Amino acid sequence: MKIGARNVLRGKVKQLRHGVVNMEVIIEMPNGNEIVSMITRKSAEKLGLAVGKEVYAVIKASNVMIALE
Amino acid sequence: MALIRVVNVGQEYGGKYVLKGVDLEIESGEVFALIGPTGAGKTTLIRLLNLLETPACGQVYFDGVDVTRSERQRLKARRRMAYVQQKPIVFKMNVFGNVACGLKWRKVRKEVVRSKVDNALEMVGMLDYTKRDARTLSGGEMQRVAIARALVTDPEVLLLDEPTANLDPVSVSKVEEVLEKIIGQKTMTVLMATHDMPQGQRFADRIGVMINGEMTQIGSPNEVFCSPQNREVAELVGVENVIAGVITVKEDELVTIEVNGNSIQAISELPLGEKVHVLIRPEDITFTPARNVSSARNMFDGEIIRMTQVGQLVRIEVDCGIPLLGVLTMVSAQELGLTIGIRLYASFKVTAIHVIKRRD
Repeated sequence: MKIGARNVLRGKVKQLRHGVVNMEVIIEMPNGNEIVSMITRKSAEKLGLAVGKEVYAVIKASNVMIALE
Repeated sequence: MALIRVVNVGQEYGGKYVLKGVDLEIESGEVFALIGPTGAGKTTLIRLLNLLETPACGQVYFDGVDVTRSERQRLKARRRMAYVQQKPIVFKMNVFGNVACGLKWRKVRKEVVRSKVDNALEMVGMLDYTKRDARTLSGGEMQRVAIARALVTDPEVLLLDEPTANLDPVSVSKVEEVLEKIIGQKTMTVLMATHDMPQGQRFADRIGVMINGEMTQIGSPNEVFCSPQNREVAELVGVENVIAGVITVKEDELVTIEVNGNSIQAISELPLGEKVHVLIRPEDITFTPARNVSSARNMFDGEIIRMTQVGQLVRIEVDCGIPLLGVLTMVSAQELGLTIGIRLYASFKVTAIHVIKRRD
C-alpha cells in the first residue's frame, strides 16, 4: 500500500462496538497486541467490516505519542 | 474557593482599552497558562494579578479578599506572590546578592538567607555562579537568576511573563527544565504567560486564550488545542486549515458541508443550513498517490502547489478545489516521490475535523 503514513500494520478485526454515529473497531495484531480505531458507521459499512476480516491500521508518524512507565 | 478570582476586569491606557471584561478563576496549586499573540493583554493581566496596577473596572479577589483598591490588602496579597518579568532585571551585584535581596528587604536572618539562596540557586542550576557579577550573565542565565529571586521568598503564587521569550533554544530548554522542577514540586500556584503554544500545552492544567484584550477561551490544553471555539483561537493553536462552508445535509450528527462545490463530511451538533468553519490540523491529512479504500470519509484529489521542509517534516499545500495544507515526514515524501505539480489524494477522517459556527 503506497501511502504517506509510516505505520501500516496488518491485523484482524477482533470486535466492533456500535455507537450512534461512530463505530469502535478493535484490531488484533498477529502478536496479540490490539489497536483501537474510531471510524463512522458508514465507513465501517462501506468497508464491509466484520469480525475476523483482515485489515490494515494506518497511523501517521506525527500521531504516535511515546510514553515511559 | 478560587485562590485568585477576577471579575469583569478591564484596563485602559490613554483612553484605549487593552483588557476587556476578563473573568477568571485560578485554584490553589493550579498551573494556568495564558496564551495569545503579542499585544493580546497577557502582560497587563499578569500585572493586574500581581497588583502592580489597578484595573479601570472590575474586581480582583485574592484568597477570598477583595484586593482591587485597598492598598493595605494589596500589599498583604502581593507579599504572597512573586513575579518574573519577560526581560529579567539584575542588580549591579553578584548572583548571590541578586537572589538574596528580597529576603534582606524582609530582614531575614543571615544564615537563613544563605540556606534559602543556595536552595533557590540549586533549583535553577546556578549554584556555581554565586560570586559572578550578574550583569555578565547570558539572557538565559539572568532569567534563571530572576526565577531564583522569585522562589527564594517561598511565594504561594508564581507569576511568569513569557519566561523564555527572546532566548536561544539551549537557554529555553534550561529554563523549561527549571519550570518543570518547580511545577513538579506542586508547592505553588503558577500563572504563566507565553506565546509558545507547546510550552503552554506541556505545563498547564488549564489554558486561557487571550486575543485583543479578551479572554476568548478557557479550557484544558486538549480542549483548547483540539476544540478551539473560534477561528482566531484555531489559527493561534496551529489549526492551519480553516475552511468556510455551509451544512447542507445532516443525518444524526454526521453532516455534509458544502465548500466551493466540494463536500466535506464531519461530525457536528450544529443545525442544517448553518454557516461554519471546518478546522483540520495539517498532521491529520494523509496523502496517497492513488485513490485507496480506507475508512477516511473525506478524500480529494489535487495538485501539489507548494512544498516546504521544516526539520524532518515536509509541509505540502495541495489545491483540491479546497486549499489543503498537510504535513508528512521527509521519508514518506521521498517514498511517494512528491514534487510540486504532481497530483495526489489527500484524505482525512471525520473525527479529525472540528466544526465551529461562522460569525461572518
